[in-house]
Amino acid sequence: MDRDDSSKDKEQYFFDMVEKYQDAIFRFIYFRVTNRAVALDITQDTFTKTWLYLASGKTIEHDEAFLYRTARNAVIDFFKKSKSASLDTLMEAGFDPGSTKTVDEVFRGDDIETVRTLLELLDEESQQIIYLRYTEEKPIEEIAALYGKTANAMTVKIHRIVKKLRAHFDQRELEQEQSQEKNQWNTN
Amino acid sequence: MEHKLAKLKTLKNITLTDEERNLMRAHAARIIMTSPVLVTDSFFKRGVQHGLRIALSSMLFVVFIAGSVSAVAKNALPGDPLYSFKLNVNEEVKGLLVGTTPAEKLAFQQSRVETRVKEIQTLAETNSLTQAKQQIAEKALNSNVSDLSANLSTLSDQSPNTALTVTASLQQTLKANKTAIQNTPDSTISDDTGKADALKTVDAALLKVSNQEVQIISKEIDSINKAVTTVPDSASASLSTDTSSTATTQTPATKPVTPIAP
Repeated sequence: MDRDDSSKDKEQYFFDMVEKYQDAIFRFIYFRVTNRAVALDITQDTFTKTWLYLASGKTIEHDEAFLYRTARNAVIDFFKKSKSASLDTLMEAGFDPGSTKTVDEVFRGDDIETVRTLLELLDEESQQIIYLRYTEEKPIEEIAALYGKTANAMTVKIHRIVKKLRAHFDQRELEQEQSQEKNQWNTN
Repeated sequence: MEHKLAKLKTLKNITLTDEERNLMRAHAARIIMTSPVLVTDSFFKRGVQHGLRIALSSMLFVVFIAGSVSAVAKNALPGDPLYSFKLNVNEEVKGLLVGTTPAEKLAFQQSRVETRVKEIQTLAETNSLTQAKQQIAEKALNSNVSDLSANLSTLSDQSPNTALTVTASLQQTLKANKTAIQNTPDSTISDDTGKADALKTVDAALLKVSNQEVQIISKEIDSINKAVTTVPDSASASLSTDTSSTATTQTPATKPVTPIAP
């Protein structure tokens, strides 16, 4: 079947999007699910949804923001499914949320592991904002646009998240110190 | 804490492998193939197409209904619910389509009269010719004979031979129908005087056609007489008094006279 110029343009636009953003979107998802195979699967799902949106005749104004938003929703869907799915299904999908075996080596560095563990204590949106700000080094304006907030509101939000992380970190350090003291006392 | 968060920067080195990249490209190509772009027309174009679709489907529906009714009405007899439809729609539409020449119109009128008489005959044969039906049939037959007479008058001016052929053929048919009606067994319907009335109706039609034939012949004779009186006296003395339409004149030796064509 012959396709008109508009269809070809859309296809080319989509291919360009895939080439340009596949790494960033994959990282964004990988950071959250910490499993390469699952991250690749969700990345494909993200691009599938993006294409279906384009193919239905709609247009995308800010492609990067659109992709991050789609990826964010795909990750949320994934975790929702993970909660409701049976263990067998999760194992088939290659993911086991309760096991550290599914966390790839790249996330097991001392500092990274610490931050990732602390981030797990935050809500989904806060984790994504921290990723975009500190891994992708996105300007605050871009992150704000992605979440439909003003730059000022986003600055305040990031500040609060970091403060919360610090509090969790301090709490954790304190707990570790107390634990060590207790162990020493028991040893003595 | 800021120092630890800054370590997240190192994650930026995570990229897809070449194999994974190829997988992504293949996936993109596959979803494009399986879900092609929907071609969306302008609102106006869609509106026009939608309107045309509705108009076309409505038209087809009307044609279908009219065609179905017409097909059923084709075999309707006097007294049937669709008999009026047959007379006023089926035959009128057919009359508009048969042709424009007087000869074609006349042939159609002739077939209508024959159909009416045939209907009367059918009713008589099936023992269902009640007075009510007889009246309906008679009315329709009279109307058709009147139309036929009008057309015959017109045609007799232009082509008397054709008009006479039609009347002769029609008379023959009517006589045949009359005989058929006469041969039908007597009706068992209590209020029936139909057979006698049917014969009367056919006779009346026959009479009208015969009168029409006489009129045509009279007209023909008049025209011949007129032609004869216009011939000079010397020539007229030797003219034959033969008044047939195909007669030729005996021409005097001195002056030839053109034969009077019918």
